[in-house]
Amino acid sequence: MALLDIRNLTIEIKTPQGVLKAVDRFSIMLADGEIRGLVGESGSGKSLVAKAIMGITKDNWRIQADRMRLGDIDLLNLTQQQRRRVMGKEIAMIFQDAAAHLDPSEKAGAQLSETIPCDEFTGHFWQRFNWRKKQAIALLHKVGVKDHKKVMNSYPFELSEGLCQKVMIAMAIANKPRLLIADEPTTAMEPKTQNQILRLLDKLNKLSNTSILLISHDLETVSLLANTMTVMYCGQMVESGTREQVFNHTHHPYTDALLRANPDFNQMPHKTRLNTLPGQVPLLHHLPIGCRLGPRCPNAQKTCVDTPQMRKVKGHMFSCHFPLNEHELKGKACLKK
Amino acid sequence: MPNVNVFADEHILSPAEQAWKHFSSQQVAMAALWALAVLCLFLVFAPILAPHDPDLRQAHLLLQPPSWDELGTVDYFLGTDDLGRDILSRLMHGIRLTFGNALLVSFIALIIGTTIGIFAAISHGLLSSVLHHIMDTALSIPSLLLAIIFISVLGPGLEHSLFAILLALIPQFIRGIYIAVDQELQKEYIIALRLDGANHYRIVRYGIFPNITETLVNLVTRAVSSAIIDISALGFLGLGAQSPLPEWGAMLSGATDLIFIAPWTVILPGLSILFTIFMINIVGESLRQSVIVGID
Amino acid sequence: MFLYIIRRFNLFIITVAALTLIGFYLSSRVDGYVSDNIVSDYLSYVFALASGDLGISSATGHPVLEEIKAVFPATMELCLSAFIFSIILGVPIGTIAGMRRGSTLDTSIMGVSLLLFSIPVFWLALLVMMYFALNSSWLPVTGRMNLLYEISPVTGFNLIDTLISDAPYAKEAFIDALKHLILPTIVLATVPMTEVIRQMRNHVSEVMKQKYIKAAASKGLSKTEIILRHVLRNAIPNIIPHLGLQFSAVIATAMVTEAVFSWPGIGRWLISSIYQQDHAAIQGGMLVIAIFVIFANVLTEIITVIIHPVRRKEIYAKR
Repeated sequence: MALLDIRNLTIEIKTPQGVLKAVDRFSIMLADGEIRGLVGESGSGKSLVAKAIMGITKDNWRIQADRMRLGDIDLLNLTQQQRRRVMGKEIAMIFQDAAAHLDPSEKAGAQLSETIPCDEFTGHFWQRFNWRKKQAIALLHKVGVKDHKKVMNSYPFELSEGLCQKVMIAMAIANKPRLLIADEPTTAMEPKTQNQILRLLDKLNKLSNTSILLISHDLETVSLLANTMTVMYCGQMVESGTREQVFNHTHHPYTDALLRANPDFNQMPHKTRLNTLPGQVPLLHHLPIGCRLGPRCPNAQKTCVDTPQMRKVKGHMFSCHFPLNEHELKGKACLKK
Repeated sequence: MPNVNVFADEHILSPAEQAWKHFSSQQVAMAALWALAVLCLFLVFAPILAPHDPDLRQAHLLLQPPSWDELGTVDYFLGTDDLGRDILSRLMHGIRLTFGNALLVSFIALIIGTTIGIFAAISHGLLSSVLHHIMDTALSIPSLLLAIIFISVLGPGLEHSLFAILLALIPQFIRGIYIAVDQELQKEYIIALRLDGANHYRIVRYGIFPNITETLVNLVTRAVSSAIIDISALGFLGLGAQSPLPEWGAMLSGATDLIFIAPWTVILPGLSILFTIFMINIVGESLRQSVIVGID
Repeated sequence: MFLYIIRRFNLFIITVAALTLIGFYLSSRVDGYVSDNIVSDYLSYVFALASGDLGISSATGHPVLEEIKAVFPATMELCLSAFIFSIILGVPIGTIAGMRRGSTLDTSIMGVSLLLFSIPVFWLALLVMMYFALNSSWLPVTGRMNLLYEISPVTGFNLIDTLISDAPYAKEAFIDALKHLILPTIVLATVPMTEVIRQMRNHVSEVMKQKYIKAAASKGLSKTEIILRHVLRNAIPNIIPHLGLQFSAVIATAMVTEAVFSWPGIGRWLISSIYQQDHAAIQGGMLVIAIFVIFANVLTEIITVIIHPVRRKEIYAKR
């Protein structure tokens, strides 16, 4: 059974200018122990999806979905208390700017010890403090922090970005969650630190079988780690499938554009233009009707004014009227809404 | 032919326009602004608008209650005090003494204090650190205290009290402006301006000034309301305006003994002070929020 | 850290020295005589101050220091109780307003506190006095203690003195002192309380917008837990400098309140000295009050640095 099953998630935001559909019929499925990448430009709505799953929503959002389940827990109809329990124990989230997400007035060690659950504690209550501290040190070692003394006694503003992120990951896995949502964890980091964090996530996935939803705008980074990928554009899911399918048998023009956007300096002659789609990501106020990539797509035709339906071929989902690599689809297409 | 605007271009409002738009959309703030405008009207035209002479003592009309009481008359709308003077006229003339003087003193303190504050903030080196420490410690003395100290040297009297309050308000402005400008100077856009080749005047005028508007509004609001309180407090203590001047605080002090037999002589002047300060605070607070909205 | 405290105290000493200069100038203007050597005059003035000789009051004939020692603790008692009262009431109300910023509750709290902020203290004192004198015989309106009770002043703080005194009526005296303290405290605490509410509301709502609060919510903490554990720890250190300023403002308004409630504190004493043009008393009183205010400010700064870890960085990274 899938760990995370979301079908047709729609998030509408009430603004003074009207109700804007920020995320439109988004679907995603995560199996146990799978690492899925969610790729999209800034403004495509990926963070909104993460927040909707976690339940950290603002009052002017309206969330609708056909299905939104975590295992056997229905995430749509939870009371506040149940939601908090789910958020603490089953799902954990790590964020982009790690240092800003730690309480600046408390030492890192204290914050880490706070999150350690006491359910498995056997012993007298005065030993609890030391036990927590030992567990915290063990967690820090697990995430790759060798000098635990220094980290435990420092305030967040004294630690480097990579260390802060590791502390955040340690806090996230303290409760042994089933799903870890990583919202652009390495976006603002140097490559060396980036690699460390990604390797750490990989290790966690393999050792504790934690599923990871890795959200990023960088296709390359995600492809290093993820088994399956989902590509989002403007609040809509445009393509989804295994890494091999999305990279080698691309069907949607947007994914193709993303892949080609990374310049290959070996092949390109000097002074050529970089491969980008013309135009910009449309604002929420001025979304195009039908396929949202329409105005920018090189293959767009008149039928693109109608929203394309989602098609699924051997687990590879895409929504385009004129998919690329059409020859692979001949005779195998079946419509899926 | 109807004027059809084919090119629907969004007219982006300037920060000042945005601020005004936000301010005027709040009914409470606009109502307070109108109230202040009415007060200013009385400020200027009090001699013409007041029904009676504020110093005219009528021995046969001592301690008349206000008109809504059964013993009161409409002629003396808010009643009379213990010397038979009409309270409404005295309150109107008192606007000049309390409110008008407060505005005047605040304005002068604003000019002087802002200039010194800006100069202090853009100075470097030893002078700067000395000034910085003076600001921190010595200029945090509240204005009422300073005013009393200055009065004790100069002696009681309205002019002395105004001078004392002016001297007490200037440090508040200096300190507030200094801290605000200091903070702005540390921001990167000032470095960008300096790299552009701007001299001190340009940096202040184009870089700093627009960005300390919020602080300025805050300071001016506080200065005016604290000036009103200081003037009336000094009047109340007998150290400021002396009777028979119809300054509101002095009116209160004269009425203290009458509090049980003629409570309106106590309630009305205090209510005027409260009302004026309240309106100023409402306008000031809304203006501050509008400025923040305008700048953002 | 220790060095910082030393530096701050140095500054305090320098400021006090500057104050003595002002005091000296005033006294020379009054007394009239200026001997040939101004420096020696000034030095002898300073030595006199240091040894506690503030001159003789021309109104009462007693040494000024004695008079100040008698009245100053009364003011301190009133100021401290008003200050504490304003914090105890202001912090929770401000936090609630900050948590629900923009709601009707928040707007009404801010509206009421703006109104209370605009009330002139002496007028409020008069009204309160009038109401309680007329309607309730339970709370006394003037003075500090019923004259029947004879409590020997050990610390000068009535609340403490009555507790440690061994007179037979100590308990009743304590309650009486408390009753006398209530009305002036409430009147004096009104305006500072509104400031505390405003500051707490601003800082709490700022903290609520921070990312670590969002992260804490995503960890599954309940709202109360978030407030107690993260919000207060981050908001309260930010208001301490403002609290320091508040205390100075309280001292200033206390002087006026004392006049109304006939509270025998330094404010009332100073004001009557000004009436009587008692220059030695005026100087002495001013000096003491000014020194005390500056001392309170320096203390606040030191406490801020101790409590707030981020500020600690600032003291090392000098500009």
